[in-house]
Amino acid sequence: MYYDLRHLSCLVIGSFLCLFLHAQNKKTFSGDFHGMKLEQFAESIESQSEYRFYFKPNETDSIVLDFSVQDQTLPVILNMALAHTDFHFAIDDDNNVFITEKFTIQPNLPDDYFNVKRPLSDSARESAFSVDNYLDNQKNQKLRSALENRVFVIGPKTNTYRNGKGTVAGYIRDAKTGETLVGATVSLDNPPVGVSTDQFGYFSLTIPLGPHVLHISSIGMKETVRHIALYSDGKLNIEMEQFIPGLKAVTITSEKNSNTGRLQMGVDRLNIKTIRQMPVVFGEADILRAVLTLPGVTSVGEASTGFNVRGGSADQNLVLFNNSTIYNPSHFFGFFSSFNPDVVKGVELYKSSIPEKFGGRLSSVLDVTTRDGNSKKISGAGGIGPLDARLTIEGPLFSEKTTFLVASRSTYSDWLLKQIPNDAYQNSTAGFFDANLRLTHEINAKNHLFLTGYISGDRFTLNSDTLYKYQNKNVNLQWKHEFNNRFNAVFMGGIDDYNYSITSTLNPINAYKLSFKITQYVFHGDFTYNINSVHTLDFGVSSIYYKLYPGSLDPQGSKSLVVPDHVPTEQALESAAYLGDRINLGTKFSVNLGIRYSYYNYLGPQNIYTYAPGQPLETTSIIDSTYYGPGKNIKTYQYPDYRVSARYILNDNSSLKISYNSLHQFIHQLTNTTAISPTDIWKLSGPHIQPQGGQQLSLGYYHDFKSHTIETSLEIYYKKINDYLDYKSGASLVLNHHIETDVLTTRGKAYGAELLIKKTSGKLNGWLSYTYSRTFLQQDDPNAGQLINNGAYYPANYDRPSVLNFIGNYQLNHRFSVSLNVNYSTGRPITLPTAIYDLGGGERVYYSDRNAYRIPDYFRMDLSVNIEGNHKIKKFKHSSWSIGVYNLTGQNNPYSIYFTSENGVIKGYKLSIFGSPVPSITYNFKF
Amino acid sequence: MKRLINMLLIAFTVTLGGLDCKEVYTPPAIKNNPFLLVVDGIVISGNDSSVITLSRTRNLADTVPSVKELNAKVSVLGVSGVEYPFTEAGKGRYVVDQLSLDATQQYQLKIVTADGNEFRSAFNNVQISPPIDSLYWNQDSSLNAHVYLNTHDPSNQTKYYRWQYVETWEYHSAFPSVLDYNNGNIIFRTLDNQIYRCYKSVPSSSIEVFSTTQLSSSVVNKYEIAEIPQGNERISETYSNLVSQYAIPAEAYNFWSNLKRNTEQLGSLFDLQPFTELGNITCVNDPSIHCIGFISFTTIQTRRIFISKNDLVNWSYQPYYGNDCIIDTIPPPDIDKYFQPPGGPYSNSLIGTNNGPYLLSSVLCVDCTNHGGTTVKPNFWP
Repeated sequence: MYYDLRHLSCLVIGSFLCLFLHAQNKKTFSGDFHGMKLEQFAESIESQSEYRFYFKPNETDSIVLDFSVQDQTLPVILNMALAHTDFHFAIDDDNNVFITEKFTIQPNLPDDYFNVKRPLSDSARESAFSVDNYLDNQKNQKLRSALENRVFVIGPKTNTYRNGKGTVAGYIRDAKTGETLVGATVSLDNPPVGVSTDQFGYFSLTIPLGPHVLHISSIGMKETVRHIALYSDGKLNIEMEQFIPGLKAVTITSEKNSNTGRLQMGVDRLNIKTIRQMPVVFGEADILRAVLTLPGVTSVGEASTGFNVRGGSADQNLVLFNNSTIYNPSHFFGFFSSFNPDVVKGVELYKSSIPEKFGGRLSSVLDVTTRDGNSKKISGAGGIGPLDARLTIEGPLFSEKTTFLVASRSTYSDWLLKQIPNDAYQNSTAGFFDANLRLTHEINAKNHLFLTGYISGDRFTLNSDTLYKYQNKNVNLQWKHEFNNRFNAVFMGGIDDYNYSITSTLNPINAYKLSFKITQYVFHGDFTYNINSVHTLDFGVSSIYYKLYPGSLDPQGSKSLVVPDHVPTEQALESAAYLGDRINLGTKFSVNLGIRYSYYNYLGPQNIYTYAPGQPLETTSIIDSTYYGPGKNIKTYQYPDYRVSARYILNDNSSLKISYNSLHQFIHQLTNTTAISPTDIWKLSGPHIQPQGGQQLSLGYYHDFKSHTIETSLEIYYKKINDYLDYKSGASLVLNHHIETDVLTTRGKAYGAELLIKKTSGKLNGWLSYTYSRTFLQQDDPNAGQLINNGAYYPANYDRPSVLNFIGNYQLNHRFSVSLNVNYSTGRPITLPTAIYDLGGGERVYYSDRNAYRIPDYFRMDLSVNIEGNHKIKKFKHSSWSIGVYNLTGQNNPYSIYFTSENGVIKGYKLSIFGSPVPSITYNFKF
Repeated sequence: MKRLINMLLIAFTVTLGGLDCKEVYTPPAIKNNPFLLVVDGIVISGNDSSVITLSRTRNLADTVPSVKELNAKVSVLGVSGVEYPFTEAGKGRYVVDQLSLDATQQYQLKIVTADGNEFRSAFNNVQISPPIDSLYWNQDSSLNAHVYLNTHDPSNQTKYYRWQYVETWEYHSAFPSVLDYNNGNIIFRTLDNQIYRCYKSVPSSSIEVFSTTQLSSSVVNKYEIAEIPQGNERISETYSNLVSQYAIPAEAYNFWSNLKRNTEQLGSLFDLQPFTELGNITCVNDPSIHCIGFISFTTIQTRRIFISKNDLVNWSYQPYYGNDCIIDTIPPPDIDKYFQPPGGPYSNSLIGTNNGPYLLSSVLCVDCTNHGGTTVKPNFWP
């Protein structure tokens, strides 16, 4: 008779540890089993012997015996019976016979299971898993445990493991939605190696042939393991389960070992779950505000579009949204980031070792990735907050192979503006929207297509007169192709567009429209070749064609006397080829060597002024001009940039890393306001404007405590920047046909130390970071026309030496969690007047040294409570409330300090943006 | 749960109603005064006098209103060598009457300060200002009054305009005083002696410049010269604005518009990095000595507008003396007690008589000069 395996666990536990020979193995059987099912066969054997069979009858339906035997032992007969099936058998010392699909129960764990010596002894030739574990786990027959306990045979099975190495590759996905997981890690205990999945959730790991236990982890997912028997190269797709919040105490589990084991340094990764838990202003999870809590990231103030990474300016950050460049990542002049939290999967910020595949910006790469649509069922999510409402719909399209995701957000009120204490904003209206599209299609196992579309727009009417509008539009198509397990490629083509316009029609004679636009056409081919367990090559080419409309002024209406003024378009081609090698030198030491060669052409049509040699570039020193026809190369810049990083693992819990980067940037944002404004224009490097260059050296020490649940790191860096643009006093940047006469090139230096303590799991989790950093600029070329601060180094606008951030999340129970965010930083530098005088009928202030003073220090505390609805899995709609208070203590943090002449008298003011607590409540739902 | 949300929503509304994030800021005691010479003024060619005011920069925290530069020698120099000296008129003012400068010549301003330093402005042509086409006003939806200017240059020579103006207005005290106390006697006031009707004149303190370079012709349409907020005292009776128009060169326009941006237009979310532009005056004997100011040469065009309170819609003027003006009576025998010695708190508070007892109110309510005006009617007043 057969027994259901479930009944058996209590019977057999404890009886498998003995290592005696199988007593009945020599008993022989004879008979004709033609047409006999396994069930009948088992009954027949059980009736003749003490063997007892254990199998699942519904699984073994397909086994039909078609032979007869004469005096054969049971193992021989079973070998014949199961020869051409996926089934395996095992017989223990008590004559229990286990028949299992796809994997073999090893009733008696071999001594040397985890220390395989080659060639393997016969007794251990089957990679296997112990029966007691197997049976134990059967108590909760979850998908997870079944998968975790299975041994996946990779490659054609051979009697013994060959010597050498093999590559296991595949995708890691969310079991529920089918969505790929970016940045999930696959690691091995012995040898201690690990890889992270790429942007498509793909991993490729080269390890010695043999049995292995792979540990797979990803933020917000349950950690899982896979047992593999690696015979040669092969595929392994892994599905992970989400945490059901609160059912376990753990809410965030970041990649184990990632802090110390990861080769890269200066990389911060946030997934959307972490971001959602952070208290935010106006109830909306905000990607850029979350990024601002990371060590080494600052901004000049609350209403700033830009963020500054390690002393770099805001335009030195490459903001990628599924590989599309976003020129203006914020709504509402910087109060909000323009990424819908419902579609974002996570963000990665590279601030020191920037992978060689990225280029074109000096400071950092902020890589925002979106989710793919749910491949299993149609689902949606949305929310309503105090300012905006959002909705996302996703699901499979025709089949599981194609998924879609569409999302949109829009404001429905403009009360925010009314809060700004400036009369001009009181009579203003504002609104924004953004929309996302993501399509994925699996052509076959080796070819995948991904389409991303993004549009965001803002409109703002100042004083019911002047209309400001700005818009991002992006689309790209990616094709991922796997040549084989070790070699894959991603090809991408896309168009990125950013434009703004200012329209004023109140005065019909002066009615105008001023517009700016930049469009870039991008192509990438990125290849990864996993040569062996020592070398992994990344190489590729990229090309960006820029078309920039620096400014156009046009009349509006028939009465307008405005003369059209179009600054000629600029064109450039930025191409690059790169090669990087990730080298594993033994278990402790690994190195990444990379080179990126950039080749930049500034192209016609363009009229280029010639300035008198040896004189400052002024309109008065223009001596000639040359016209270059369309497509004609005007100026070429080419640079090899180096990316070197190394990691040395000191012990299980600590490692040392070092990295050196050099980078070049060919496009500049022109801004002479303290905070980056949405109406700042961009400028391409040309004959008179040099590309910016930067170098950074950083060193880090990483230490994990309590089995990697508490991560600490200390990173120090030193950075040099050359040819960074600053502006002559009174520079006019709009509609300027010769911008070179109004800019100054400066050099910069920045240095700092970043300390991070992060608790990744437990009821209480979060991080504490302290950053000390300085950043200085210098303009000391007397021939440039103007010295700033007499040629001495002066602090940049975003130089905030001390920044302390605390992000904490406490999970009270499975439905309530509380988050606290505390931020303290040194006030930013400002230029204060040093004297007062009378001119033009009123008092005026005299400014001398730039940025010689600071606004008072900044302190803010935010609190939020997240309340989840009940957790019935089958419920149609899951909802949650998020209630928060921004600036809980009502601290009146100055955003700026300014002096203005009112009725002829100078008055000093301190402007705060949020001078009191700002409560908010947001309703979110999912179905 | 529902209750909690309701409470939060209420808190939300209350908080937002009470946000006011602009506060007066007192800077640290910066005592870094460079003591620079400041030259203010515009040299006018034609039928008006030119006034140049010399002063020095002062510390931010100084309570002294202004440090005037006295005993300097100021003159206009032509390229040809011609020199027109100014005369010192006190309080740092240096004046010359009706210069007639040659439009084909270039001029500069020369200043020799008492400490012996010599400053000169850059040479500039005399700009010819076209006449002002019109000066007009309207009331916006919030009932504020605005004064606008239209002008154009038929020759299209003038690209940059600058305006200065003087606002003059008439205002009244609460009670007309017909009697006055004079050495123990009660006398009737003469018209010359009246203290009910006052006039106040205030020159513009803001910088008004406009560029027509982006337009196809030199046309200024509806440039706002002044705004008079709803109910403001300036139009309590009659208001007048005399606008002077100058043509200025490009560098002067840049100087004045930068000064405006740096000292009048800060306070937005995206402020300029503030700076000080020195102007076109340099120290000849020591280039390291800086000087602030921009001197240009121009003809002047003026135009005046009057606005009467009767022209306005719903002008809800709140008098400067408030609502507390009451009339008291004093019996005739007590008058000396009130009005001796002269100059006491009740002088100029006598209104009139009511068959015996005298009527009296507070000085603020009776004497309009108490509010800063003069009783002398300007000669241009209608």
